[in-house]
Amino acid sequence: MGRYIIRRALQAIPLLVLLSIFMFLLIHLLPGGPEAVLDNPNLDAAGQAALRASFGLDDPLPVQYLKWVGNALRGNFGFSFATSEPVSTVIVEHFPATLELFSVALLVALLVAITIGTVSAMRQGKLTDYTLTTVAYFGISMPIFLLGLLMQEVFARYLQWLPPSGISTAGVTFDPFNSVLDNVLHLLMPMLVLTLTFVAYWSRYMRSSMIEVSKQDYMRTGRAKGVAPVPLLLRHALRNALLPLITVVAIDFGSVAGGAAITEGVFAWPGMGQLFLRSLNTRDYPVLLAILVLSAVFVIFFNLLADILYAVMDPRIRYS
Amino acid sequence: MKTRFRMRSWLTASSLVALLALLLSSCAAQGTPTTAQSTPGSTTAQKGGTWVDDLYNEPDSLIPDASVQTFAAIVDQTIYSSLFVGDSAGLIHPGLAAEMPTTQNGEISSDLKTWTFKLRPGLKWSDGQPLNADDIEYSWRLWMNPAFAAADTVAFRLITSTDISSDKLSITFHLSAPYAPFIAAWTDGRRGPMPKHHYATMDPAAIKKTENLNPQVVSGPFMMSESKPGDHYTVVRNPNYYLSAQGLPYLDKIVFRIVPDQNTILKDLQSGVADSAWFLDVTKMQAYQGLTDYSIVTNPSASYEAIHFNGNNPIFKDAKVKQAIAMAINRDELVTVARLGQAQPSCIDHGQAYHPGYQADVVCPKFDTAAANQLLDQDGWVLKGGVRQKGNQQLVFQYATTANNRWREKDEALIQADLAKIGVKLVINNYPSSTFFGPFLKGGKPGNYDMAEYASSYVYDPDGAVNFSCNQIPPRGGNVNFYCNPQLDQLFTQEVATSDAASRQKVFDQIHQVFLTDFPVVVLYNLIDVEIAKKGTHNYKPGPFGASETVNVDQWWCDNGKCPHV
Repeated sequence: MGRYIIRRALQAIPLLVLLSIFMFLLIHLLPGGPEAVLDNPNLDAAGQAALRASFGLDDPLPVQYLKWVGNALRGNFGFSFATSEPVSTVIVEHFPATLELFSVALLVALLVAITIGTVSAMRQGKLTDYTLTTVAYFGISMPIFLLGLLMQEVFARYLQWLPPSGISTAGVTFDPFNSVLDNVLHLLMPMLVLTLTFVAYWSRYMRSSMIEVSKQDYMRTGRAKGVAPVPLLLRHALRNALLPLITVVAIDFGSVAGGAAITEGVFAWPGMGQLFLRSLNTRDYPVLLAILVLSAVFVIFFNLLADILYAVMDPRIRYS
Repeated sequence: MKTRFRMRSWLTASSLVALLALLLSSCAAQGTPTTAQSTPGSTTAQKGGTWVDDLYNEPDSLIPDASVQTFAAIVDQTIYSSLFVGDSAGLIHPGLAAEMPTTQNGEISSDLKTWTFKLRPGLKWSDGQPLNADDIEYSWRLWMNPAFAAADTVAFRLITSTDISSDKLSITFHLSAPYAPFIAAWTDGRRGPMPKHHYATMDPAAIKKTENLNPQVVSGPFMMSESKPGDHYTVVRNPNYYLSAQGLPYLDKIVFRIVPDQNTILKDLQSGVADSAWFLDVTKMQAYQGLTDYSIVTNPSASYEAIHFNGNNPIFKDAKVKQAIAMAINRDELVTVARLGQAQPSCIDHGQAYHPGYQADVVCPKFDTAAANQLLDQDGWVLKGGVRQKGNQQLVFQYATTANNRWREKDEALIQADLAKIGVKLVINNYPSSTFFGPFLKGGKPGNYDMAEYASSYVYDPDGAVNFSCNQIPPRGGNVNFYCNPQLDQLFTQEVATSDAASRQKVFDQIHQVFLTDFPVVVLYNLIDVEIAKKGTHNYKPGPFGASETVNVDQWWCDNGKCPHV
């Protein structure tokens, strides 16, 4: 297993290099690239030159790339075109909000999806199954922004149970307990939107997987030997049924670096999704490049994690 | 039995979850309260309170002259005092300056090349250090330093030398050419002087990289308390504000929340969590009118919406084509349908906010489709298959504006239909703002950019040279009309060379005539900004230029010293 992990990690390096070259070239060679963004007609020639130099644009492209890679490996992604802040600072400012949202949403979604998928599979063909299937398809087909707006309408506007947007209540200083509570109240709606979206998809995977597993010979043997349904389910079926879901969840969590753009936009949640959209709109290329590369790193890492979990969950799978 | 047990377990679990949700939602986090009772408005300003304002865009910098973005100027105005300040009517008054310089009091020379600014005595920065002419001197030199990369240096390029008085309470600028807009260049917080004692030891290139969104030493009514990019910016009362002896500012604190979605801003307003919001979406006017605990504030802005012609397209050398287009557009319909009444039809670049500039007696092209058709007929443009042609040229144009803007999309549809009636075919393609105002317009490529619709304005001073002068054609400047008219350039030179309002107005009238004969642009209307403030707040009076929303932020106050947001 150790050798497998090392081999996969080493295989990821050329992949990341190729991806970074592709993204770097894409950003710098397309019309309207960094040169165009920094063009300021109010500066004279000396000013323009100084501005380009401050962002490292006066070097040849290969040199710019090598400098960028060298700095990136040290956590320095350059400076934002929009705010002149270090890109790493900008990302550190936004990443925790997305990590919080994603982590809680994925955890809740996993628990709910596993439960719903299992119940649906166990009640296959019955009213419960049809009901849960209908709800899942509703979740799959419901646009995220619409779901978010509806929740704001109901919970924030009419019921006034939850705040409509933001990550905290503006202008108020809380003690630690109330600060956490305030954050939880703000987190609930965006978290629910993301959770419902994930649950809709994952519960379908879980259902199919559980149906597949429950038809296996060892399950029939277990039932024949008189093992109670719940222990049979939990000790024998669940673990095997979870295997396909692991890959899907890992890939979904790998997208955390890019954030949940629509959800964060609807709820003004100051995370990576909002940052990505803003950087896209303002052509803040250093930030965009950093987010794209980080996203690639996360996807590769979580794919590897999924493979490792696979092997942990299923002793039949051995890597070498 | 087992089935009932399982059913009971699920019901119990579901009930527990629902109960937990109810308990959580009913437990509002307890903190220092900011809610206020809704009381009848008092006429006496009351001190105290935290005001929450939703900002549609995130400021990209809070350092003076580091940005041209309006939302940056809005927050800048709260933390920087400037030599001169605008008011809600767009008029300029002394700020840090002791008085308005004029030719009468000798502080402006008759040739407009020597300007003396006298400071109030006893000015201080937020850290208690003295604010004086040394800071003014430091600021303009910093803005002119290429390493700092200021957003706008048009006025400061003219400075050849300065003299500072021995008491450091006055500074005299010597300019290389007369320049009437020199006071406007120092107006509002976006052009507030910067603290020399705080920044002089820093590398100019490093200033924006370190304190860009959290400047520590300021001079405005408020100072930075919390800077959370992407989420909110909090400013608190500055005890060293130059008007603190008069009890200003009234508020304790302002929180600017970043909410980059108009739908979410509406939800915030419907939930009552914001005290105010500026630059609202006019297409949601009905929803705003339904907010009974808010008052809508509409304010004729300085912005004019216009169709800009790409001068690189040879067809637009023919003024009669542009004149026919101007005559064929129903401006009243655009105002009613696209802007829902929140605009004033116009044909010149100076709205009512400009003094001088606005010309009440201007004769605009009359909406007359038949006359427009006749003009094109006489000019040799023959109608074939619904499109006019002359030789191998056709009146088919690419028309663009900013993407994802509902009222502009309506504008485009109406204009497309109007122009189809005179044989002009528009092919519509829209672009995201940064692309539109970046490579698209500046590229000036006919066949890609023929006609573009967007809003422009001048800040306080009505001088429009930067948008229309021959020497401002890209890459040198912002004349993305690629329009060059020596007669117009001469008129711009004349109007900046006199400070007499009446004389300048005569020149602006002549400039308007050039606009209405040569049509570098076809002005459609002046925008009316839509903003909103919660009942229980007072003095929320955005201006037409510059800092706009926060132009009088030191005078905002709330009933009983507690702002009404939830």
